[in-house]
Amino acid sequence: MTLLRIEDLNIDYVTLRGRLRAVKSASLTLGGGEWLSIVGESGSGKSTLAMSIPGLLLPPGRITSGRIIFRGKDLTSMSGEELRRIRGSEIGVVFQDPLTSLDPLRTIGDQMAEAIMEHRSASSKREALEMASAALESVGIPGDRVKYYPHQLSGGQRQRVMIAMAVMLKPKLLIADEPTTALDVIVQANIMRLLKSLQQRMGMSVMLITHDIALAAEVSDRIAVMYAAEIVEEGPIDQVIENPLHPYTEALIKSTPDLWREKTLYTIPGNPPDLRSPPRGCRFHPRCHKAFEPCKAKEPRPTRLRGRTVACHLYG
Amino acid sequence: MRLSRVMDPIVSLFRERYEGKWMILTGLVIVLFFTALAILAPYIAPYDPTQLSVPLEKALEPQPPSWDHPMGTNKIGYDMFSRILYGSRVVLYVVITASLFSLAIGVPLGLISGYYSGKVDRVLSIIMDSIYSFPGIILAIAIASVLGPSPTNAAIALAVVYVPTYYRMVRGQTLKLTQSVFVEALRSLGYPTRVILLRHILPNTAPVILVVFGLGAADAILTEAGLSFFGLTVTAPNPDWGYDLYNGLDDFRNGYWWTIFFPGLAIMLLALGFALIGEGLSERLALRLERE
Amino acid sequence: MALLEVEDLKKYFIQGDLVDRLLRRVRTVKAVDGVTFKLGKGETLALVGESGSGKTTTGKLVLRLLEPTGGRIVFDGVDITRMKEGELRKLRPRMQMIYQDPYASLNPRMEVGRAIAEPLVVHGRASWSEARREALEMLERVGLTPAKDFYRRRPIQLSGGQRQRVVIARAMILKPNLLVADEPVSMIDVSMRTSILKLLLDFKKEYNMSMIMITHDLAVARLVAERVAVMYLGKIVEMGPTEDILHNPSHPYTEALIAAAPTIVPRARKPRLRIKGEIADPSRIPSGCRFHPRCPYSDSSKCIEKEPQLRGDSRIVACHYPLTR
Repeated sequence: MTLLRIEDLNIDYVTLRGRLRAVKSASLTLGGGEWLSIVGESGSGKSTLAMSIPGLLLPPGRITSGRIIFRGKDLTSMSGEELRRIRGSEIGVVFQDPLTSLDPLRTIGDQMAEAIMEHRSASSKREALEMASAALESVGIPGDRVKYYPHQLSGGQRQRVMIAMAVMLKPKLLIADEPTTALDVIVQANIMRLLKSLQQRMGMSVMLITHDIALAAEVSDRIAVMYAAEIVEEGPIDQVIENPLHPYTEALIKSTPDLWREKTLYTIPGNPPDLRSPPRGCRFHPRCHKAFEPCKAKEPRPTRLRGRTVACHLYG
Repeated sequence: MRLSRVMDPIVSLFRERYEGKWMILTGLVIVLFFTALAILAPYIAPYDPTQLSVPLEKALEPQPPSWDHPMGTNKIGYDMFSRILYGSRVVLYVVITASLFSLAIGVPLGLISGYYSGKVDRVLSIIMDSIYSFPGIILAIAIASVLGPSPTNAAIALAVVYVPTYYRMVRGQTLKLTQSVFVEALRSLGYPTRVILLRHILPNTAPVILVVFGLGAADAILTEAGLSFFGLTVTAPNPDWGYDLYNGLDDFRNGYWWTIFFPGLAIMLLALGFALIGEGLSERLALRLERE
Repeated sequence: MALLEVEDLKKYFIQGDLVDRLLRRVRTVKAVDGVTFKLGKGETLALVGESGSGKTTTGKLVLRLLEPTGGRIVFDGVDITRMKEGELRKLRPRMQMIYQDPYASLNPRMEVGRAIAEPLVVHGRASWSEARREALEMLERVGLTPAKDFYRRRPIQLSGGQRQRVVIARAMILKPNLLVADEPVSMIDVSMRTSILKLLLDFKKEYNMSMIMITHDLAVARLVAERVAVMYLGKIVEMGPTEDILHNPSHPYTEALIAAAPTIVPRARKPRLRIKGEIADPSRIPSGCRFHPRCPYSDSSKCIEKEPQLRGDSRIVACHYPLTR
């Protein structure tokens, strides 16, 4: 069953210096209970794509065309008020930096209860606080910590609080944007394990945004790889990792340092392009070792290939 | 070579498109206009500013603006237009000299204080704060009355008043930069302090110094007018805006508005010119910091 | 002979202002609390640990960018622990540092080519025109071509990876004997990380340079370092040859770090060890073994009461009950 379907989505940033396409003709589907990770470098458009779903695009970002169908409704045509009601209740969001997402002057319980009341999911403040405390327990924090202020918690605990807030109203979809980038490795592993168990326990879908393909590989069902505002490859995680179709995916996998693989120093030449003036043809071709004539001239179209999608001239 | 290091960021202010540009340009036009008047005064002025410009019988009463005297005459029969022209020389001399003095003292002290912190910083900060805590005009009057009335003495008095402004801004910037990674990187490269301060920290404070220069000069014009008002800049019969303003006070009560209106307007306009430059630059700076 | 010898190095920060002092609330943050190691010529040692482990502070102490509270630093036979800054300045070209954030480590207003050339002039090794020529060669060498074009750019006009190349070029133009690289790729786009590491390794080989690689990422340490020192709360808890440690960790914390490292390999045979909690506040270091509150094997009073000492030769570990296999 499809929970979310993104169709040919384009997102532009219009600034004084000109127009920049941050997401270009993106199409994706996410099934109920499925974990999809979007992997890419900074500037690849992965966060922009994810944030456009719950209507959290920051100006000057704007959806210029395309549709985002969530549970049968098109989110791009909804008003700010309708989207606000969906955020929190049906779509939960977790950000990279938990400290800036919490009000330092109010207890975490207070902030959680407010969010619950906002969505009229509790009849009284007391009930809301009880729900908050239960939500904390579910992420491994003692329930009595509702009385704590954000600064009394460690970085990892704050991120757990953010996760508790995102999932306490039992959303169908959780969007996690680099949730562990600011955290240490051991804390990161624990947070990822928590997210995985929440997903399985609650049967929700997860969209993880990350630059770390290894992190995605350990938890995802499917993966989408973005490069220079485009989704270049998408498919089931095992197939993509073991047999990457797009040369960028392949290079990314080869160049990621990994403890459980043979030691190699595989390097990708060049830099990611400037989105204000992307290369003609395939955007990866200047760095691609398999590039041939058509890559320089023509943009590759996404091709379906046995349940996978790839945008590369090597495949038709 | 070193000058270009300092000028580069200033020049770059004008290359790009940005919000404060019109403020700065308007300010520059005003300031340059008055500078031109000051330089060309001997050629433009229709009369000697310290000589009778009307027949003796008319000199007993201020004459209203006319074709011969576009800004009228004062009660001694001097031509106001010529006095305004020559007066701009005094104002600009005092204000620019004072600002350059303050800058020349405040900037190096601020750099040293911010870079070394510790004892040097504490002592300098206490001195500067005690100067700063005086109302500027009262301090300037006190110093100027000790030194005696002359444009140079007025400039010295004003310079003392504005040193702490430069010092505080530059110290703050330097302190921030000294703790930054890039200055630590320069230390790790084995750079001597002199090179770090002059070639790297100073150019990074240049835009702030410019802002202070603009706003400080605007403020100094008003303070200078105050000094002149009390006769501490020039002696009679020399022309000076603030002094003429003082002399015109009685006339205003008797219905002769022009002997006070034109000096007042000149003071306001020139102060506005410097203030616009300062504000424009500071807006521009804030925008750039935001972008970075 | 070792290029660098560090003995019982300590750095304590006193936290608190005058009011805190009067109220006796002053806290001593023991950022580095007795670190000892040797670094051979041409060798790379990785300092690995979480934030708060003291690895960056150790790196800066070694270069005397921070004043040590105690201990001894001997660089190429010369004790530099208390050396005056003026004398130190003559040694600085031989020991360089690269930072995590390349943008922050460059003067935002200076052309990058000039930033690379300047150290040569400052140290009187070349005139400006010679330095300019060498800087152009260096730009070419680090892959910023056409060099003439890159010479004129400002840091803001470069990508993160390109900026880090500039920082590397600036450090390498002095041909140092020792390089401390503090998380040099953690802020760089993933597709450019290995090329930055490769660049560092190429220079290391060419200059027979010794390197201290500070990183939280064991996989990065594995690519560049012959030896690894795992740090926890200001101390080295385990040190030895890289592959040996990764395949056969002795300290539970090392094993936990290995277990936490994400991998792309399906069904990788990772150690199962999982630990809870987060690194303690370095102003309140736990008694006994400083890792005991998080250690799944600490059930004896020994771990709580007695601090384990580093033991061993080529493989050393500080643990009362080291893992055996």
